[in-house]
Amino acid sequence: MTKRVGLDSFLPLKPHWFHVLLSLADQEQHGYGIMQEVLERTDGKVRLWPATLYGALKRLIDEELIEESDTRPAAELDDARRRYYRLTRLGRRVLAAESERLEDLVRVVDAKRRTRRAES
Amino acid sequence: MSHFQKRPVAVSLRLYRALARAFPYEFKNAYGEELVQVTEDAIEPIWQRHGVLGLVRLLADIAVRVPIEHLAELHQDVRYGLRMLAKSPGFTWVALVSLSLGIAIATCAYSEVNGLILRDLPGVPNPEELVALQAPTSYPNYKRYRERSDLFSSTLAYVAPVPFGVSLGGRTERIWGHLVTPSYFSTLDVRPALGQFFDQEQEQSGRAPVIVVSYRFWQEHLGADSSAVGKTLRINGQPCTVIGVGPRDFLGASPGFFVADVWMPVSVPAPIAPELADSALERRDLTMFQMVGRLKPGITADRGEAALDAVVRQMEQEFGDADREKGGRRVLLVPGGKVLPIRKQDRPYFTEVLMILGGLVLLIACSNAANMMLARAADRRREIAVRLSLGASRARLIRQLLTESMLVAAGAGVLGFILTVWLMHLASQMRMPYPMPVAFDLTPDWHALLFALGVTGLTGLAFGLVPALQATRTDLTPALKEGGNIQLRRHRRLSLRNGLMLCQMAGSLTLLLLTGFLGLGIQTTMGIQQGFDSRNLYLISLDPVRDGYSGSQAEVLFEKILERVKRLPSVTAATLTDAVPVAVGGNAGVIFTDAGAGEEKATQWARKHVVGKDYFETAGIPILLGRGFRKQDEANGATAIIVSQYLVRVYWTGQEVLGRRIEIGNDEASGGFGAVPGTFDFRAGVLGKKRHVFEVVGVAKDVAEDFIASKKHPAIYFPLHAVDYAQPSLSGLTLMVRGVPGVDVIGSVQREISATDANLTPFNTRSMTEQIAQFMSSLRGAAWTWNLIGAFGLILASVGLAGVTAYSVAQRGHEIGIRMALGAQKSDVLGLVMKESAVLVMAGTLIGMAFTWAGVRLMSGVFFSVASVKAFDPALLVGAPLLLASLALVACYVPARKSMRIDPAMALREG
Repeated sequence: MTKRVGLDSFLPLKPHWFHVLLSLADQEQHGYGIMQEVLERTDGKVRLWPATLYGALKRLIDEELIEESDTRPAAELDDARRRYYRLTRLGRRVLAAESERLEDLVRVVDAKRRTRRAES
Repeated sequence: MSHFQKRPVAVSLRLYRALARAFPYEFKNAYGEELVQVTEDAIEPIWQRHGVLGLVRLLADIAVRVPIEHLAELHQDVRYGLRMLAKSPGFTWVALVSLSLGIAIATCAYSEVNGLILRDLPGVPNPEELVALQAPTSYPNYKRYRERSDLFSSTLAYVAPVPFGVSLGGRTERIWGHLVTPSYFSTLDVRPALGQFFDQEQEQSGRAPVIVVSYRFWQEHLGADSSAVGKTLRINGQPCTVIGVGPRDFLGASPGFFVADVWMPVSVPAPIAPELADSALERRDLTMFQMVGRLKPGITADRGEAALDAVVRQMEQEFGDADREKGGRRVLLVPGGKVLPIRKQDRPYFTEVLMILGGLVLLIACSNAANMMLARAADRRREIAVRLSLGASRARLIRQLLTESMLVAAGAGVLGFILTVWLMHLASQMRMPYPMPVAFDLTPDWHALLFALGVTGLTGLAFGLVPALQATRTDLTPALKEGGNIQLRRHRRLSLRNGLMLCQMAGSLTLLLLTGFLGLGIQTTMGIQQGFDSRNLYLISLDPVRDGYSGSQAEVLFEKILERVKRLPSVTAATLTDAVPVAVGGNAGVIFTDAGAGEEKATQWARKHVVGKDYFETAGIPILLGRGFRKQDEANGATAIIVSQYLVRVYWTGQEVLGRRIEIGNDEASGGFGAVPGTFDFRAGVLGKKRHVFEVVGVAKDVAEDFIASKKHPAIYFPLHAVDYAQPSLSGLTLMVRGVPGVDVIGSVQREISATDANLTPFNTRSMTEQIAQFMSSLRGAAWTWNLIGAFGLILASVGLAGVTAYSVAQRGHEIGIRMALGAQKSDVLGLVMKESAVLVMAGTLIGMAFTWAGVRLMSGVFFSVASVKAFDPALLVGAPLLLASLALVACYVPARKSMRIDPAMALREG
């Protein structure tokens, strides 16, 4: 029960945070990678500027939603200078909760649209 | 890409790196490098995709981020600080209370200085351009000054204070105001809230009198009615037309001492303004006109002063004045735009006492808090050492510790300012014993708020910075090691804490002694014998002239009233009088010389009292030699006077007194109290240049003369004359009545007065006891303040010492454990701890005495004019240090006792 309460305190999630967590959902990433992934995923609509990104990363680490990863990828993919980040258990659950919340929102909007179409 | 195209990128990158260095230490450590790396990778694509706009956006992103991160750290520090403070409520509350009291007292001191000395005339633009004559002048002189249009863009002259009997709601109210030249309002550059001000036309005498009223008069007495302009008001029995209402908050050219609610032109006929009788506007000897001028741009006050001085000298030559060859400045200019016109060079004299005392109190409070902070910081040495060794920056730790002290200071600042507002509100309500309403607005304005803010900030820094620096300067190794807190201290070494303690002891003692002197001086004043019997004595003031009667009508009225009152069964004696015992006199004094003594006659000075013939009998002042006044002495041309015992002792010891003839003029009537505005008598009868010869017919016992009761003044009593009925003084003429105990004497007297003439309006009805109490009230308030401040300093010092000792004991637990294990007795341990405290106390006492001596010398000017102070009262000099020392030692003893209860085994183990 306490965990539920803990999750709710994060919602609604800030858009930047959501994008960062989403980037790390499938794989560990370094900062630059997150930036690129978000840019591509949103077709250039959302750009995480570096300072904002690292501000978000710092806070996500403080809130224990992400952590620095100690495992490094394969040598040919690795960039020794970079630090890699990954989701924590909590981070994963928060991401799931936020996704669910957004899905609920979309469902509500859809239902409203159908009703209006039916009426007109 | 060409070099030209790459330049913006290179420049942006350089800027970016510079900005990244501005991040807080921890953020920089953790993410700084990575951030720059990412940007180096991303900047090219951004440049290609978004061009210059993209680079700007990139830089803006980091530029905004840097302060956000700093604020976030600050926010963290504040929360951490609050948590730490909540964990030690004892420290927090003591620090809050003592600092807020210190800040309050310092801000009060500043507020008084601000309200009295620094405040500008309310409602007047560009007050810095205004200059005023320090001493009033005559109207012909003013007209000459007025001609100097090369110096002044505009000038004004006015008579103040002027009481007006205004008929309001069926009775006559005594309202105060000024008699002014038409240029009064234009020189001050104020606009009417309603109607208009006087113009040049009013200068021509003969028209119906017009007046301007103040905004607050209009609100309080005319119902803020917009049709008030054109209304007729009866003033001094004559109808006058209101032509305008002054602007809000404007109360005249000298609202401190001479508040003005009514302004009347100087061109009005004498029946309305008795002050202007006897061709006051043409006489050079009636120096009752205050003058203010607005300097032209580029003209300095010094130049103006010199020029006006020359004008006066020229006039003296023209008219062949007796002292035209005398040296010395005739004219002195003071700032005319301040509420209290004090010359810049005289200002420190007034501000000294307050600021010194305020500063002392704050210093003690800060030392106290600093000591406590030091103790707390020392307790956290291990925690700090660990954090330092783990990579925390020293700057961050210092900032964290400072945040705590600033939080306490901020809280104390808020509390202190609230306290200041309340205290100053109380002080503003204090009534001064002057005949006219003296009102100084002492409430703190934004100046005082800024001052409080500044003081708060400084305080926070003062008591927080040094402990923070000291705590983080820890040599890591001994702090980290167990038992690393041992420092076998020799009491001779002056540690910072001991130094602060010394400061506090010395400061407290100085404060205690100085305030003790001031308080004692006032106590002495209040306890002095008055010289007459003040019981069952009542005073009622009357001013028939301002009720609309002429001088001769007034004289007849008074005769009747006196007769009727004397016949009352409840009255044992009654008299009319101008002067009243124990009051701020209407005049400062007279200079007299022995009649016919030739050129080398010595000039002597005495306070002047104009009294009715039954004055001495009614007041209960014994006539020691000769006789009291008789009816014949009140006739015009009569020469009888009575002198005081002290006058005889000072000037005529061993000589003939009765029948002695003296000559009195008023060349420069002056005296101790003449310096205070409103106590100088400007009436024609008083100021007239004629010299008269008088004969001494009696000697009266001494009576307390003014604030400094033990400081006696020679006094001369004059009988009432017709001129006193025609031109009553500022307090009117007083009916002094001695009644039978236990009866409502005042009630019966008032009935007799209204039976004689219902139009007469008695005012200021009081008993002698009330008069004395009111006279003393301001002094009493001052005495209270001094004593409170002294007590506060005492408490603070004791608390501080106790804290230091307690901490010392806690710190030395390990050492004490070792000593006890090695065979030291409990009493030895106690002695060890007390010895250190005792040395501090003694050293502090010596330094405090030295400071006190310096302080008394610094303030000696103010001291001796406010209270009679025996400069080195032995009781105080011995008693105060003794009191402080004993209190301090007791304060040390309690925590020292804890040292005796230390279990050596526990102490050794805990380290």
